[in-house]
Amino acid sequence: MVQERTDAELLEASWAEPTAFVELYRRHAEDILRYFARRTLDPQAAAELTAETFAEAYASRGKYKNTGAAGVAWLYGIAKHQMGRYFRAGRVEETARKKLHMPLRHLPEEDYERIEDLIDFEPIRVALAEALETLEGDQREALKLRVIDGLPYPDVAARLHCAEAAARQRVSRGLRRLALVLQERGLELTAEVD
Amino acid sequence: MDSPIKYLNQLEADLDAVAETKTVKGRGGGRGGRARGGRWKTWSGAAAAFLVLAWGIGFLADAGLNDGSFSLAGVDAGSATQAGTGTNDEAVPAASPALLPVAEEAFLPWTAAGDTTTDRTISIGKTQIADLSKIVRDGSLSIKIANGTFERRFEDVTDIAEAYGGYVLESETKGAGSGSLTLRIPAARFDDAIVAVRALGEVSASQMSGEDVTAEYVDLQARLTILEARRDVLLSLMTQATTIPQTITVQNALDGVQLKIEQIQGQLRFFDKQVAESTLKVELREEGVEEELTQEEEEIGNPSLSRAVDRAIQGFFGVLATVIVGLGYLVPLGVLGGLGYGAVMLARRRRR
Repeated sequence: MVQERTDAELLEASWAEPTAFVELYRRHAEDILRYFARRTLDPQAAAELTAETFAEAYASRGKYKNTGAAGVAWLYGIAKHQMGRYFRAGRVEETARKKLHMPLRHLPEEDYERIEDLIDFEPIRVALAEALETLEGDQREALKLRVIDGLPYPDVAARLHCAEAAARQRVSRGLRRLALVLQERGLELTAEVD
Repeated sequence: MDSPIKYLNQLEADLDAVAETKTVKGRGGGRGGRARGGRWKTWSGAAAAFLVLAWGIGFLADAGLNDGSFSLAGVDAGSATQAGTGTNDEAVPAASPALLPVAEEAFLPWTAAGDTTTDRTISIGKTQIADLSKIVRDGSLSIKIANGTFERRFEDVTDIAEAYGGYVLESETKGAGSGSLTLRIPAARFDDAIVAVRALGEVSASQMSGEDVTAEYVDLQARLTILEARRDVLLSLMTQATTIPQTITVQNALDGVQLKIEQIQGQLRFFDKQVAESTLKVELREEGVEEELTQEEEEIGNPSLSRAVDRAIQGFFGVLATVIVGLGYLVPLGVLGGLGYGAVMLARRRRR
C-alpha cells in the first residue's frame, strides 16, 4: 500500500511537481472555506478569501520551511493574514490571483446556501441576537427569517415581498455587517477546524 | 475533488491549470527558482531605482554647488557672458581672503610696494578696505563682420589695443576673410576694450574667464619676506667672517638664498604682469566664411577609438561620482525612514 504524503511533503514537493499543491487544496479547501465563512458570515467573501489564500500559498510556497509542524498550519497562517486584511480594508484582496492570472469568479447562486450551511450559528445565537439589533430594519428582518427561523430564500423573499436575489443581497449584507459588529465586540464565531 | 460547492470545484480547476502551466514552464527548474527569480527581480528593480534616485539627487546637488562657484566660463550667441557679476564690471570676489583693512597695510611689507595696477579700494560703510585680490582675466570674442571688411576691421582691432594702452601679442590670418589676434590690455581698461571690439560686428561667441591667484601670490610674498630677512642675517654674518672657510660657507648660503629670492621675485613679477594685463583673443570672420572646427568638433568628425574609450571612462567615473554624492544624501534619509517605518510597524503590532 502506498503511504499518503503529509501536507508538509506535498508543499515541499510542489516546487518540482506543482500539481502536488492541488492535492493539498483538495484536502483542505472546504475547511478553509468554513474557517472564513464562520468569521465573515459572508459566503461571497468567504469563497473569495479561500481562493486568494490558496493563490497566495501557491505563489509563495518557496518560502515554506518544513520545521516539523503540520504543513496545514502554514496554510492557516496565510488565511489569518488574509482575513485580517479583509476586516481592515473591507474587501478581499486580489493580488495573488492576478499574479497567477487566475480568473476572479463570482459565487454561483446555489453555493450561497451551501456555504451558509457550513456556518454553525448555534454557539453564538445570543450574541447574534444582540448584534442583530444594531442592523438596519430590512437587513435585520431578512437575517431573522433566514438565520433565526431557518427559512429558505424563496420563503424569505415572499415574506419580505421582494425578489429572491434582493433577499439574498439583504442577507449577505446583513451577515457582513454582523461579522463586523461581532469582530468589534471581540466575539468570535466558532474557530475550530473540522 | 467532488464538492457540493461549485465554487470550490472551479477553484480547483483554476489551480490545476496554473499548476499545469508552471509544470511545463518550470520543467528542469529547481525549487525556489520562480520565487527567487521574482524576488531577485524585485530587489534588482528596487536597487536600480535607488541608484537612479541617488544619481538624480547627486546631479541636483552638483548643480547646486556649481551655481555657487566662481566660474567665469560661458559661451553665448550675441552677448558676452561674464560669470560672477553677469555684467562687464570687474569681477570682485565677495569673500576674498585678501580683503584687509587699509590700516593693516603697514604690517604687510608686500603691500608697501603697491605697484600692481589691480589693487582696488572699496568702501563698506565708513571702513575703507583694500581689495588685494589678484585675478587673472582672459577672454575671447568671435566677431562676424561684413564681406570685404576684414582688413579694415583687423586694423581696427589693432588700433583698439593701442587706444586702451595695450598691444597685439600675436596675430594670424586664415585665407582672405578670417583671422585672429591676441591682445594684451591693461586690466583696468579690459572691459572698455571688450566693448569697443564687440562694436566691430556681430558677436557670434564670447567667453570670459577669471583665475584667482591671490592665495598663491600672498604665499610667495610671505616666503620672499622670510628669505629677505634671512639674507640680511647672512650679510651680517659675512661682515663678521674672519677666515676664508667661514666666508665661503656664508657666501654659499647667501648665494642660495639670493637665488630663491630672485626666483620668487620673478614669479611675483609674472603674476603682476598677468594681473595687470588681461588677454583678449579676437577672432574675425567675414560672413560666409566657414568657421574652423573646434577640437571637440574635429573629434566628432574624426572618431578615435582611444578618445572614445577615454571619454567612456570619464563618463563612467562621472556618473559613479554623482551617484556617490547622491548616496551621501539618500543613505541618512533612508536610515531615518527605516527607523520611522519600524516604529510605526511596532506601534501597530502592539495595538493589535
